[in-house]
Amino acid sequence: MKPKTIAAAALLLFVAASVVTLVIKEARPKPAPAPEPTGIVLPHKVVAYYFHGKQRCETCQKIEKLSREALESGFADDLKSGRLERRLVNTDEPAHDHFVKDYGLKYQALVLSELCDGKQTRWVNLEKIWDLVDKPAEFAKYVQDAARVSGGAMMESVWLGAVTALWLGIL
Amino acid sequence: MIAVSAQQVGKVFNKLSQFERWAQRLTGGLFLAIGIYFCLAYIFEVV
Repeated sequence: MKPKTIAAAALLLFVAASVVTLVIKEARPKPAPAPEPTGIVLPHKVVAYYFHGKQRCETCQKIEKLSREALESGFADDLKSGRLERRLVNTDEPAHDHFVKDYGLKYQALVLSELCDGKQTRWVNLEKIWDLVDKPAEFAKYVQDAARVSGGAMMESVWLGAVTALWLGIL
Repeated sequence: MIAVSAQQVGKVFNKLSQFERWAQRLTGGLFLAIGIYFCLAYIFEVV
């Protein structure tokens, strides 16, 4: 057998193995998407949206992983209590088109949205995530600081509301 | 003069043919390497 024939056969085998693996991977049941909110509306909360498309590159997946880790390590209690919520949104789905317009999304993004009585009061697109993707520590700090500012602002508005109510009550 | 010119052109053509052969091999090798890398990275997820 000529070396050329052997190489061609090996490459064909490799291609066949790749196709088989790809088919098996696609056929495997995918994890269920994150459930939509159940209708319970907390008075104040922050939603961390991670927007992605159908095609997911390595960096996109890394950003999602780093964001999840940053939020889980910094706000485990808030995530458990529902004050902070993570939502993965596929912007390629027609039902999610409005997010692209609402937040001016051009590519994968991490957006923190503050909700007050179920209505969005403020939001911020954490654009630096792309610059910090290779610096996990700085990435985590950036995300956690932003989430803290959102949560802090929320607490300020809660306190302001409480003080105003108290003041009005006194009057 | 025409004969000399034709000879020169022939020489250049030969050189070009040689270069083309190597360029083809190099391109083929590059495509194979990139293809194998992407298969390993995104399908087998080992790289």
